[in-house]
Amino acid sequence: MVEPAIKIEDLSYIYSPETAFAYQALSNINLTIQGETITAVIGHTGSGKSTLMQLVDGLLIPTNGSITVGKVKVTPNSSKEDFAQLRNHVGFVFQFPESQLFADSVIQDVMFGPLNLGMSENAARRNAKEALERLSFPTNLYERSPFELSGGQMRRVAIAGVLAMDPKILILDEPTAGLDPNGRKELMQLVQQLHEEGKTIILITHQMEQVAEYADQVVALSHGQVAFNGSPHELFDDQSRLQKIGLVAPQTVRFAQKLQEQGVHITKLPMNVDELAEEIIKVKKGMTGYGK
Amino acid sequence: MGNKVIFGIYVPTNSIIHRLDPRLKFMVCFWYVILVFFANSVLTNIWLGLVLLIFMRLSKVSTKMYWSGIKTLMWVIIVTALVQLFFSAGGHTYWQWHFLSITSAGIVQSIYLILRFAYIITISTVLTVTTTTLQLADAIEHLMKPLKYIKVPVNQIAMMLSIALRFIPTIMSEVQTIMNAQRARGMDFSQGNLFQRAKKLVPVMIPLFVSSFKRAEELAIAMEARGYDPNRERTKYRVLTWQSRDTYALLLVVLISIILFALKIVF
Repeated sequence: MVEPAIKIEDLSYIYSPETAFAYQALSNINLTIQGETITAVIGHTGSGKSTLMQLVDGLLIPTNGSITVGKVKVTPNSSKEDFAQLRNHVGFVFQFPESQLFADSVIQDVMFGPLNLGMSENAARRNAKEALERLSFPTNLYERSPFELSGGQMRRVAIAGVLAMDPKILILDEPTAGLDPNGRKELMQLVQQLHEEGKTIILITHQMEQVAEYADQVVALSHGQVAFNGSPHELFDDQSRLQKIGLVAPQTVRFAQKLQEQGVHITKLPMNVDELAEEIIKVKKGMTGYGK
Repeated sequence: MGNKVIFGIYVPTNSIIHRLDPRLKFMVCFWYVILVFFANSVLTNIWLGLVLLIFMRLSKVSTKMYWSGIKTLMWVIIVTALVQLFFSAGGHTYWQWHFLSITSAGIVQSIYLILRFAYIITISTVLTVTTTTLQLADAIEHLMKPLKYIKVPVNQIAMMLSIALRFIPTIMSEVQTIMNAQRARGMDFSQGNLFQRAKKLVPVMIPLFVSSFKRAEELAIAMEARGYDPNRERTKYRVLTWQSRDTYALLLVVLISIILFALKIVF
């Protein structure tokens, strides 16, 4: 049994407290994220997704409550070192991470994280190369300036920069935003692969197709509160709740629901195209069986 | 933004000062700074301080905001006051060591200096907490209009100014995001000596410059796509109108100034 990787208790966060601009971004969040799973975090812009993730990465100090990652627990009174520890456990790929590149060459930029963790030059270089290879980044571009690369390549370098730190938990904030269909597919395959290798993955996304296809657990945030926490199946099965949160089920689910409305018997909500095809085949077989 | 009270940021309390014409507020702020340099006696300083306190109360903005402004520049004030204290001559000498000395004139001068700093910072804070940056830009543009006759490109300068002001919060939040991204990559900004800390700014400044240039280019294209021509006369969406309360406020400031000069001459 895998222990919970992240445990969040009664967590609240207020931006600029005690000023005219005070803003409660999160209130009373209680969440458990199991290790070695993919958790999708969804919700509208401003629902508190990014704030929650920054808290998990120890970038913000909670106003109330606690966060436990592995054996490290932080509360509003924790020391700086505790928050730094949190950051060592968690890798965070920000939205549009290519905007954080700064070094003279690709390889040096990827080595930045490992070196900050106190690795030796050689170990950092090894990690960096491994990470770049995982993202199938062309070897002949390692010494190139990151600013001469295309947008998609820059994204890979930035993600490699986080992977090179070899975090147990990886947070990805809309990693596929702005990528072409191929880039999107490759990146999601990598996410799947990392998950199979035992990493805990938290994926912030607006793409319900990604949620359905990859996530083990879905957390929907709305106005800084947890509006739903469960499996993608449960989420997409309840249309009235979906509507209340303001979400639309993925196309495969909607397709199956349309079929159901027409009286076709679907046993299991299909989370991707393959599953949908299987369901249809099952129904078809059933029908020909009837004919005989 | 973060958790800090950012000094001088607009606070929407909709007080009487908020509703005054930004041109008036800008000119009064400027005039007050000039007056501060005329105040060189106990009474005139008390008078200016009293006036400032009334402004602060009228603005309905918490004293904490004003205090944070002075706190930010505290070191500058202290260092300047110490220089004034140790290097002035005149009056009774209390203490002397080589070229350093503390004299009665020096003490008085450094107290006035501290007050001047505090007054100037606070009056500027009164202006910025009660006036949005857009209003300020409008006011400056208006006040610069006469310069058109000596061929100063007032329209362009005003556009530059309002764009610059408009992007300050954007860039601030960008700095925050980039810093967070680098902190997530294991960077610790709070450790190391001055030189090490300066070096740590590189991973923040370079991405910031890159994105700022990119943003400037995109903005320029977007403006041209919408037909912006820097040489054309522009009309205003927000028209500044001088109201009777602005006239009363102006008269009040004239009265304040007369009292100040009277105090200076009579005592």
